[in-house]
Formats: sequence, structure tokens, C-alpha cells
Amino acid sequence: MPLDDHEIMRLVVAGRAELFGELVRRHRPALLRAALSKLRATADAEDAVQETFLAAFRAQQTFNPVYSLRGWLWTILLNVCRRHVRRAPQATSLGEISFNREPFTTTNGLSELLAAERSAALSELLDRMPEVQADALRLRFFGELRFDEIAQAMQCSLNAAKDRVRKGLEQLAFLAHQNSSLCQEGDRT
Amino acid sequence: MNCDRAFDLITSPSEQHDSELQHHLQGCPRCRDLVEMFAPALHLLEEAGPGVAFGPDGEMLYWSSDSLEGNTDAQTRRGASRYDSPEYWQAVEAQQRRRGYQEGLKVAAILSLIAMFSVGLAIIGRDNSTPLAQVAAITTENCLRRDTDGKATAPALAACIACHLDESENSKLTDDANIRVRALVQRCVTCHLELKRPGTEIADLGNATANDDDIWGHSGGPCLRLASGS
Repeated sequence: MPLDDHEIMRLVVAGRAELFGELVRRHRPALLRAALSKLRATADAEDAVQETFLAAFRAQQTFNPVYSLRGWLWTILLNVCRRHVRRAPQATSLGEISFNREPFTTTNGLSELLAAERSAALSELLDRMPEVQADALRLRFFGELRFDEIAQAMQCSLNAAKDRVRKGLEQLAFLAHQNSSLCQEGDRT
Repeated sequence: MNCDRAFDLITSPSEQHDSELQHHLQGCPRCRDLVEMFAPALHLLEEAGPGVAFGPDGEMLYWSSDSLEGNTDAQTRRGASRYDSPEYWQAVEAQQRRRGYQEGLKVAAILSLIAMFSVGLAIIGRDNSTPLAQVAAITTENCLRRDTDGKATAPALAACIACHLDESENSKLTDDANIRVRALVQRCVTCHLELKRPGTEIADLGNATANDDDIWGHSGGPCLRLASGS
């Protein structure tokens, strides 16, 4: 039976540092997805995730098992991403994305292109929202965190975490609607 | 199921289609409205969110949850020994510490430049009637022409700029002299910030007395303020 996160962390703190790799394997994909959505550049996202794990490894002694390890990692990631954003402006916007690929000749290629556009459009909309709401959505939908974990990662109450997700969805729906209206107007003219 | 639990399920990427939730929605108009209102956002997040991530060049990193797992396994399998090894994390930590140290040095250099520049301006601004000779003395006191060990670059440059680009003083010079002052400062900036200037390196400043033209170029000569005799 696989060990849970807390058990692994306990063993890491006890000196079995090699087990930390298992935590990286478990949490890296979700952290990377959210970091990529926030930073928009693959290299920056990978750096941010690596910094997150490094910080967690360094601060292993301070981890409090009362809280969720996932929430702790996400707290670190959000802080690291914020620092990255402050340090450098974001790499791309929807209009600047270039598709550096072979010509699309298959249906698969076309669907990749469309999905890439949708992904970029979503990141664009999230960037236009208040940061706490956008982060709450990233944690809930990209990281699949529970509300108590979101509350822990964002250092707010459970109700505030739910409220941020609710307002974030409202805002995103509004922006999506506004965007599609603009596109339709553009098509007409 | 209460509305609070329904909200949890509505906003859960993996439980949105739960049968219990569907049953609750049939009997709760408030939650139905909520789902209707969130629909465009949920659709967007479902389509473009988890499992689909693209780099800035549009390259696909991961496609679906399944391929994400597969991809990650492959990635971590490739780097399994890397992540499992404490030495890896120690090496990364050392690398980050080095990077932090270098960034700290950069910030310190910039701050000292700003501080010296402010001090220079404050000295000049304190008394508008400061005689040119006095200003020139302040300037040349820190000048690398004298301080040839090459370490006081930023403070010396701040002094050059503070004095030589003082418009109230420069307006007293002839047009020709003014152009020469600006050319001189430009050369200061070029050398002191180690910008590339063909044939001149910072280290060359140590040989200033050997060949002044190497430092001051063809149109200059030493400090124009001193040369003007004021």
C-alpha cells in the first residue's frame, strides 16, 4: 500500500531524503499546470515548481503535519509565482503566441491548435481577473484542491475560499461572455 | 444533500456529473441558476484547463489527464534518480544560492550608484553659486584617472555625471565646449560601465599617464572643466 504524503514527509524529516522524489512525482503535474497558467512561459513555470520543491525540501523541519502537505506546497508555489511575476513581465499574450510547429495536416494537429488557443484564451481571461479570484480558480480546477486546502494555501478562512471560487467563476463567466460578444461583433464588421 | 455540498460538487472538476448532484439540481432552482450562471466559466475551465497545457510557443506539454500521468511518469522516470537523490537537491540549492548572491551584488551596485548620484546632486544643489573649480575638485577627487585601481567605478561615474551634465553650469560654456563635455561624459559612461568601446578596456585606465589619448579619445583631452582653468 502506497504511503500517504504525511507519512512520506515524516520519513524524509527522519533522514530518508530519497523519498522526497515520490512527493515530487505526485504533485509536480498539478503545480506545473497552475504555474504555467500563471506565468505563461514553460521555463518560468518549471523554475517556479523546482523552487517550490526546493523550498519545501529546505524547510522540511518546519512542516506542520496538522495541515495538508498539498496546501503547504501550493502556498509556496503561489508565493514563488508572485515573485516571478514581480521580477519579469509575463512572456506572452494571446496575440503574441506563435505556433512553432510542422504544418497541421491531421485532425489531431488541428485539435491541438484549437486547444492551444483555448488554453491561451483562458490564461488571458484569468490574467484580467483579480489575482485572488484567479488563483482560487487555479487551485480548485488545475490543482483540484479541496476548499480547506485552498483556504490553507491562500491563508484565508474556508468561507472566504469558497467565496473566492464563486466570485471567480462569476467573473470568468462574465469575461467569457464579453469576449464572445466582442468576437461576434468583430465577425459582423 | 444541501446547497453547500452541491456547490462543492459543481466546482469540482471530477464530480460535476455526480448523480446525487443531478438529483439535487432537479429540486433546487437556486443551485440550477448557479450552474447556469457558471456554465461558460466551467465549460472554459473544463475544455482548456486541467490536462491541457501549452507553452508560449504553442507546443503541447500535456494533453489529457491520462497522457499527463503518462507523460509525467515518463518524465520522472527519466529523472527519477535525479529527484530521489538528496545530492540533486543540494546541488540545486547551491545553484540557487549562487544566483541569489549574484543578484544581491547587482542590486548593491545599483543602489550605491543611485546613492552616490543623489549625494552628488545634493552637493551641487545645496549652493547654486558653487564655483566651477570646487565642483571640478569634487569630481576629480573620485575620478578613475586618479583612482586607477578600477574598483571605484560606480561612485566615480556618479560624480562625473552629476558635475558634467549640470545644465546650469554647462550653459556658461560655448556650444563647441558643450558638445565636448557631452562627448567626454559619454566616454566616462562607456568605460565605467564596461560597455564595449573598441580599443579601450577598464584596465587601460591604469595606464592613463602612459597614453592619455587612449582614454580621452581624439576630441577630448582631460576634464574640460579643469582645462578651462576655472
